[in-house]
Amino acid sequence: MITATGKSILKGIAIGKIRFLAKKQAEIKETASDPAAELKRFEDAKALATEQLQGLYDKAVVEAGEEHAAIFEIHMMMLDDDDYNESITDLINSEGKTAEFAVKTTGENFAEMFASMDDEYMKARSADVKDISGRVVNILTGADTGPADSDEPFIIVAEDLAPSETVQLDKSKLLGFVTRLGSTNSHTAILARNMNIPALIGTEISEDWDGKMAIIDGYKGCIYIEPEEDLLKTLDEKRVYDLEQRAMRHPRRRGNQRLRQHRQCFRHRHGAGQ
Amino acid sequence: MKKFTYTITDPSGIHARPAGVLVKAIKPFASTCTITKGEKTVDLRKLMQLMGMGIKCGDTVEIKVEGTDEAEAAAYIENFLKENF
Repeated sequence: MITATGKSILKGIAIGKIRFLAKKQAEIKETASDPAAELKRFEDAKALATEQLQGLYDKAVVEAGEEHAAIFEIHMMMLDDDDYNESITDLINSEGKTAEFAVKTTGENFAEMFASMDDEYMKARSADVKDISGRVVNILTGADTGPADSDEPFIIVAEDLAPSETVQLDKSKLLGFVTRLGSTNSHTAILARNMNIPALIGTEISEDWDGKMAIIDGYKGCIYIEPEEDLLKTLDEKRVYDLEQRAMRHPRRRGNQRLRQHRQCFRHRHGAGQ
Repeated sequence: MKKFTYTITDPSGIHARPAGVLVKAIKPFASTCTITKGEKTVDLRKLMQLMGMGIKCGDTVEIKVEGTDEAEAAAYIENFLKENF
């Protein structure tokens, strides 16, 4: 059994198989011969990105509420920002760069600008700029962005989770997440709290964990990979107890998705109105 | 030219979403609108620059509006600030 520690976002237990989300890096060509063509590629990719973001917004409003879906509105506004666009078109027109190189570079510059501010909230916006730029670059390079569909519930382990990645995950199967990066103010942490899913950040993760059974212990801030029988039993009992406690306090609260598994029990206790 | 000062009361300062809404909302106005904090002045239509100013709770900013619809624009902005920041 391997144990890794991190900062816990939520006091809860998640038990399931790990899916390691690896970032697919596509090759980014630097120079292009036809600026007009690159500009068009950028405009088209930007339009598609905006469409995707609108879709994510709509999905997030239903799943997490308007306040949390707002991040995608911000993404759309950032994508429309004059300076952001000017930087990209300048790189394309004056420096003969490809659309993807221009977007990537611009994204990095803006991300650095935000990251160097002494405001925690603004620092987190650095991730947003990276996210939107990444989205546009992926469209331009045709890189695959979404994880494959899974039949069983899973725990996501990744280097980091961009806001749009968390929304795209199948919530009905998501048990919890563990990342190496992230802050308690990051969008990922906010979403984890809102979804009432255990999550750890700042954890030394490993690609070897992919496909292995694990327990996220949000009380201790640990993840146990291939846990021993006794530990599994004890923590599973705690997990069930937590769910019952939470459901009794907030029977209708959005985010108590695990209730689905215990519906029999609660219908019996609280009547068919559940 | 219209100008007025405003002190931010929202604990989060000027945060992304209302900033974005403001930037979008003043688009139809013809006047140029700027916001100044200390030495720095930024065009109110530039979201990234506005966010980059890091305007916090307690900061006093000066808004300058100049143009054909300045009275309307200034009133709108002042009201927006009072309601959101």
